[in-house]
Amino acid sequence: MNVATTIFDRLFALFVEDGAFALSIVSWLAGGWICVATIHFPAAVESFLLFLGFSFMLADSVRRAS
Amino acid sequence: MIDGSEFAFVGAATLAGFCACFVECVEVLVVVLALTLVRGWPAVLAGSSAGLLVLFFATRVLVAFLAGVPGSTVHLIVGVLLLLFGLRWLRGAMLRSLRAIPLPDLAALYAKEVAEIGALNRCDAAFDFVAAARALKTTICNGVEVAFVVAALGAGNAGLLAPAAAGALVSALVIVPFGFVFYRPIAAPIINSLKLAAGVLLSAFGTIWAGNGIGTEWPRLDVAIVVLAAGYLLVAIGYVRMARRGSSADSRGVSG
Repeated sequence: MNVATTIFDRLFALFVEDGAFALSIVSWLAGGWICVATIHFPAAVESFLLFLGFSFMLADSVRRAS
Repeated sequence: MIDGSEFAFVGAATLAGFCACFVECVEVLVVVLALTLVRGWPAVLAGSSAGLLVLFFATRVLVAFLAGVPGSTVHLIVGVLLLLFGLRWLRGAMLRSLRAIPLPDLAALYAKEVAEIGALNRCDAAFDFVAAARALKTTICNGVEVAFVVAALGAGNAGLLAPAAAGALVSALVIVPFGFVFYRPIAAPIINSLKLAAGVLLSAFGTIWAGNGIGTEWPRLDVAIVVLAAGYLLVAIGYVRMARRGSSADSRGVSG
């Protein structure tokens, strides 16, 4: 049980360091999913908005940690 | 699969594999060098080789498992994981550039490992199982990130498995002889730059595949990967420069 917990913790830490940052990435993607399904933006706009959101979250996470 | 016009996509996967493996190899090498120095090479070689075999088979199993998942679902899973992983590396590299977290001190790590390994019990058996187990653990713990990168790129697009694995293999072939010949760790700023490069590329791949997973179309993959990688690089460098300028202005204000 202890070994399984350690392995899970290590695997989790591969992807999540700042919980709020990880959650915001997944939330932005989920929001994007809903928008793509309901509002039909041009492909270039959708891609740019995805990138813009992730970049903003990255900068915000670095600002909070520094 | 990848065709000839998507050269940039293949190149980016190779470079991502190279950078990710280089960064992790450096840390493994520090421990392996320390182990070899204190406990001798046969057990360390056996432990490291066993670790590499475990990682090889784990990568194969992961790729085979993900190959059975439908296209858009696998893109969504791999995209989200690559985004989380790549942006985490990018964030770490930016924080180290801002000195918010310290650069890895490999010389100190080497000295710590030598001291720790020296204090470990020596077994009387002909084969040093303690040293082999430590080499195995270090190889697996650090190599799992490289295995994930190669498996994720291969699962996202079958044509990228070989380039990513080749990039990782080349970096291991470069770094291992360097470490044993010069017998000293690589400078920490170089490692941070490589980590930033790997973070940029993996975030770009993650954005493309996560976007595919939610239904966004990318007309040209080769253009998209270059534009996204350039975008993330500009954001990272731009933010670090801006934050440095801001903190030096603050310190001038305090001293003035």
